[in-house]
Order: sequence, then structure tokens, then C-alpha cells
Amino acid sequence: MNDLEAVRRLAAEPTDESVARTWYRITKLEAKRAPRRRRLVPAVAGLAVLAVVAASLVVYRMGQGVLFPVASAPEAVALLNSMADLAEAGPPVFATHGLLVRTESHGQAGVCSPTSCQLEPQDREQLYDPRQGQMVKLRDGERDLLGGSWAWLPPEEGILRPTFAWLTSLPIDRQMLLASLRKSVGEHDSWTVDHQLWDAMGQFYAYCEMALSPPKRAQLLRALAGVTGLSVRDLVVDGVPLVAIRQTDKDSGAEIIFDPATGYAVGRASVFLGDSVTIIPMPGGPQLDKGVMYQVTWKQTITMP
Amino acid sequence: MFDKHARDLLRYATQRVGESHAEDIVAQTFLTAYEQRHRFDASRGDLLPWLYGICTNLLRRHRRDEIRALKAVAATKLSDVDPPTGQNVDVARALASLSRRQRDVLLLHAIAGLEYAEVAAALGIPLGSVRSALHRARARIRAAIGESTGES
Repeated sequence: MNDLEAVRRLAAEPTDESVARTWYRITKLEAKRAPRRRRLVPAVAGLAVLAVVAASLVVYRMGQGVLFPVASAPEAVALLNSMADLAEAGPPVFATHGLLVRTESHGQAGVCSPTSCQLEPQDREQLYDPRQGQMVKLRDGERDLLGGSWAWLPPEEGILRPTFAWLTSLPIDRQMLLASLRKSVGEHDSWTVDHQLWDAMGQFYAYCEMALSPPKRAQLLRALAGVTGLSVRDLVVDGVPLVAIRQTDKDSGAEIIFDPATGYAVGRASVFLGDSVTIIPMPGGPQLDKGVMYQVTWKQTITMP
Repeated sequence: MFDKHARDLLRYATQRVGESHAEDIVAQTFLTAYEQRHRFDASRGDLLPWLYGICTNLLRRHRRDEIRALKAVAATKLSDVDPPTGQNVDVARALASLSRRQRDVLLLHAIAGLEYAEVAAALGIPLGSVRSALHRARARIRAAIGESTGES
């Protein structure tokens, strides 16, 4: 036995009970920290996060992880349903085998300290294989991000690693579909399931919306109209009027930006409505709305390897 | 993230400060990582070494507990235990005699399984410092167990 093996022999394998107790301790510790305002950093891929609050909405919690749901604004529900109608009438998608989805996104992302967030430009290009559920390419300008945590995908298929097979397995009924999507993201933790779902859907759209059939796009939009805590923000990017549908959780929210003319998702944003972080605009960049600490819009195309 | 990394971090922390303290420290590690996620730079490496770095920093507050636990093992009378356990006593004694940095480096390498560069990233120290600390630490362990093979 060599020295490293001798050291390793001192380390016992943690028990399942120990792992469970650790998770419990996280929730206990987090409850103690609850009065602190949460600061959010947007994530284009991967690590969960999010953001904002619609001033008109309040989310009540009844203890750790229990949400008393707040109804969505009627205009948000109507908008999702009208975009579902547009999606249903959209052009068919023919290429389903061997295709890749290219998403080129541009925008601003905050580089944050505990008290401030400096907005900086963010330009990314990604290629996603929806058949295998794999990220084929992820670049930030000249920097290859593939292999970093930004490109991390869970091992199992699902909303965070969408595949054609997973999409096909989803129910068609809007309520059953919403239930399935909610189940796919997990349970209430620091964030409500609907907040996690909205964030995950933003990522999902960034991966592969262009590969979805018109009926599937429509089914998803109609199901998402049942998500709680939604509101609408109007914005203009490069002269194009867009709408951001925001899911609010406490003082933070996540936004998916849609083109109301087509019903396609064209971007994501995170907003922080608290006052503990100063957001510093990007020098020379377009001014973002108050509280927006991350906003990108994308163009998505289908390509072959 | 928890499902993926909790067990690894628990194994490392439990070895150092025992199960009860380890659970608190690993819980704090995940909360700290979440709160400081803006500091994580994916271009500098994977997530796990970064988590080990946070965990190791938190462990420093429990240095006395760690030394106490190692000395408790080291105080076991060799005549009272079988040979394999006796070797554990020798190793614990050697670990207790290491400097904090040497112990951090050795356990991140041996228990956590980090490569030299990952240890350097986790602790925020130069690669050369990792090499030298690891070399000295392993020499101490080898001397303790009477083993003379080179580094693997």
C-alpha cells in the first residue's frame, strides 16, 4: 500500500443518511439567511439562477419551499395563448435527423460584486444537437466554453437536456403537459417550481425551439399560460418591438423574451428589483430597463453538421 | 449540483473533521457557492475544484477539531489494534504533524482526487507550491508507514 492509499483508507464513504442530513442543513441554514436579499447573476446555460419582481405582484411563502400561488396577469396569459395560435400556424419543420440548432445571442450580462453589477457585452454562439441532447459548440467570441460548467448538461433527458425523444414523450393536454414540465424541474427549493420552470424554459428555447414542430410549440405555449406569477414587460431591441414575459419570485424574476409577431422566443433576461445592488450600465451600450442585470436576444437557425 | 457533488465533498470533509461538522460545512459550501456564483469563472476550470476550495476555506475554521480528531486516532495504543488499524494510527499521526497547507494539498489530492492544477486553483496558490507541499507531505506519510516508493 502506498502513501496515498494509506491516506484514502482514513476516509469513510458518506452514508445516504449523512447526505440527506446535509441537504436538510442547507434548508435550515438558508432559512436563517432568508432576510438577506438575494442577488442574481444570469446564466445562459446551466447553473440555475434568476431574477426579478413585477412590482404589482407579490409571492407569499408559507414556510420553506411552500408557495401560495399568485395568479398571472391576464395580459400575460392572453399573450401566450395568442402566440400559441401563431405558432400552430407556423411553417413546418422538415429536417429532424442530423440537424443542429445554431443560436447566436448578443446582449449584456452583469459581472457582479455583492453591491454592484457592471453590465458587459456578451456574444455567444452555440450548436445544440436535439437528437442526442448534446451541446456541440459553445463559444463566447473566440473563447471556447465547451467543457466548462456553462456547457454542463444533466445526464438524463428532460427540460434541461431536451431531446426529440423526450419531446415526443410529453403529453398533449395543456394541464398534463404543464404538470409534466413542472415535474421535470423538480420541487420547490430556494425558488418556486414555476420560477425554476420559467428559467428552464428560457434555456430550453435557447437550445432548440427552431427544431420544434408547430403543434409542439403551440402546446408548450398553451401549457405555459398556466404558470403562476407571470407579467409582461414591453421592450424594443434594435428597433424591433418585443415582449418579455416575466415570472416573479420574491424580489427576483426570470424573463423569456418573445417576438409577438411570430410567437418565437428570441431572448432571455433577468431583473433584480431590490435596492441592494447598483447596476452600472455598459459604457456605450444600449440602456437596459431598470433592474435588468442580464439581457440577451438571439437568432436561431437550423443547420447540418 | 448538490446531487452531483455532495457525496464527494462529504467524503473529503468527513475525513477531516468528522461527520457532524462535515455536514454543516458542506451545507455551508453549497450556500456560499450559490451566493458567490458570480465569482465562478468557468474558463479557469470545473466547478468541483472551486467547491473544494470553498469547502477547504470553511474547514479552516475547524482546524482545532481536525487536529483533535487526528490526535485522538494517533493516541490509540498500537498494541491494542490490529496491523491495518495500526497503520491508520501512523497515518493520522503524520497528518496531524503536517502544516495546514500541506494537509490541505495532500487531502485534496488523495481524498478529493484533484490534479495538481486543480488543487492550485482550489486553494488559489501557485502550482509550484502545490508540488512542493505535496512532496513534503507525502514524504512524511511514507516515512510514517515505512514505505519508500516514489510518487505515483
